[in-house]
Amino acid sequence: MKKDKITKTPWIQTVINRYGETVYNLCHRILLNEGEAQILTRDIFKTIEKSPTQNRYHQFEKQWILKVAFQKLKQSHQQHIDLSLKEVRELNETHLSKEERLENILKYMRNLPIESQFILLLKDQLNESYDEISTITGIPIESLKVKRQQVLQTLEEWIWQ
Amino acid sequence: MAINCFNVRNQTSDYLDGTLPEFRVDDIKQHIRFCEECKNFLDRCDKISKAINAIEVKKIPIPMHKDLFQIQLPLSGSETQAKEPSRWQRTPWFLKSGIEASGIALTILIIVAAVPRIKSNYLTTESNPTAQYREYQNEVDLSPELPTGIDKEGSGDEDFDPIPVTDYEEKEKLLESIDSEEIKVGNGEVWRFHIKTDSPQEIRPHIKKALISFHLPKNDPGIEGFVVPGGIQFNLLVNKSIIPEVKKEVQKIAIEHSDSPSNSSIRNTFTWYKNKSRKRISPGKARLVVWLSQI
Repeated sequence: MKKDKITKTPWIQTVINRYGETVYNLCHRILLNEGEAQILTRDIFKTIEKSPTQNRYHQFEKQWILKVAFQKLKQSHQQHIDLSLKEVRELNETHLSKEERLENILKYMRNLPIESQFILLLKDQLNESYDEISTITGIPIESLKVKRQQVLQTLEEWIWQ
Repeated sequence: MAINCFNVRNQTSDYLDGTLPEFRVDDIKQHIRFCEECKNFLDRCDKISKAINAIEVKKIPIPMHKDLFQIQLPLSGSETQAKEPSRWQRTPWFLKSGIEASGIALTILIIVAAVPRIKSNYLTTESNPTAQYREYQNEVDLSPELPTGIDKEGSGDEDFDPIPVTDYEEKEKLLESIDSEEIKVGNGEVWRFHIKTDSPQEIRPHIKKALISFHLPKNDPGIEGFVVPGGIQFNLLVNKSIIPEVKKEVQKIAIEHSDSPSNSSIRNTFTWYKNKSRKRISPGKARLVVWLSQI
């Protein structure tokens, strides 16, 4: 394995130290399942470790790693997707106040497409720039802004209906 | 510059991020002073954004931080137990596709090979009269030149020539000689009795009557005989013990009806032979084929 010149630790361990928390947080917040998030996090870093040296984006390392995480989350999320919005209806039927619904924002977000969740988490939770999000997701900046606005509108309709 | 609700909503993202130019922000503020709906919309989107921002960043468990690839996952004490992907799910996609494609191809090959066998086993000759006729078609050589009284598995002692009948006395002699012939019927044999005649339709009812006299089922289609190109065939599965008697009867019929009502100069001839059946015949049974060929 390639070793970091300064710290002399394996490269992958350096990557895990730097980005493990971000990746794990994204997996956990999207899957809402700790066990699955742990397994997926490991899967993501295994994929990164197996990538050939010449394909490792050292300059844009963070974007590359989050891009891999995004791809893996998309594959994993396919099994969980529920377009019937049953969960949204159930949440709204529980007579929670608007503040309480906001506290359960992740449960509402789970009914959104994976892309939308990823954008919201990167932008609003982790405060990433549109440039970085555009590189990670492959969506142009202006489209990202429109998407975010549409997703916020959808959440607003669900919570304040 | 006045802007409308559509423009306000389009700029929600930049407004929340604070990246709009100052004049644009003033326009929006001016708009929301009079538009309650847009004001509520922007407030709510701001609350949602802040709620997402307030979500705690989940920290990676320490054991995973130290040795991510070696530890057993999920860790004990997890909120919910997750299912470890199965070995099949962990297999690379190209291997999975190859195995699945091979499996499908193998299944198709097995089905294609097995269906005719299952069909032939299902359509046994004992239960299906149509199959009897088909089997007959497969087995019987319908060429006009049939071997004359030759046992294909025998030593040749049972050869004899066709019996052209010329006059009444000879007819009587032949009828008397029938009883002296002894034949042995083995297992799994096909016995073929062939009468060459210029009037198969006239001999047909006699053959049928003879077969019925051996207590063969009347509803067996083989007992009626099938009209085929070249003549009429009777094809039945019978107890092998009656074969010698049937042979005698058929021989008698051939001799007795040798005078054609059409006064043709062509005479009937009787020949017979036996061979081993290609298809399985139940023990104690034999296939009987009586062929009335049109001269």
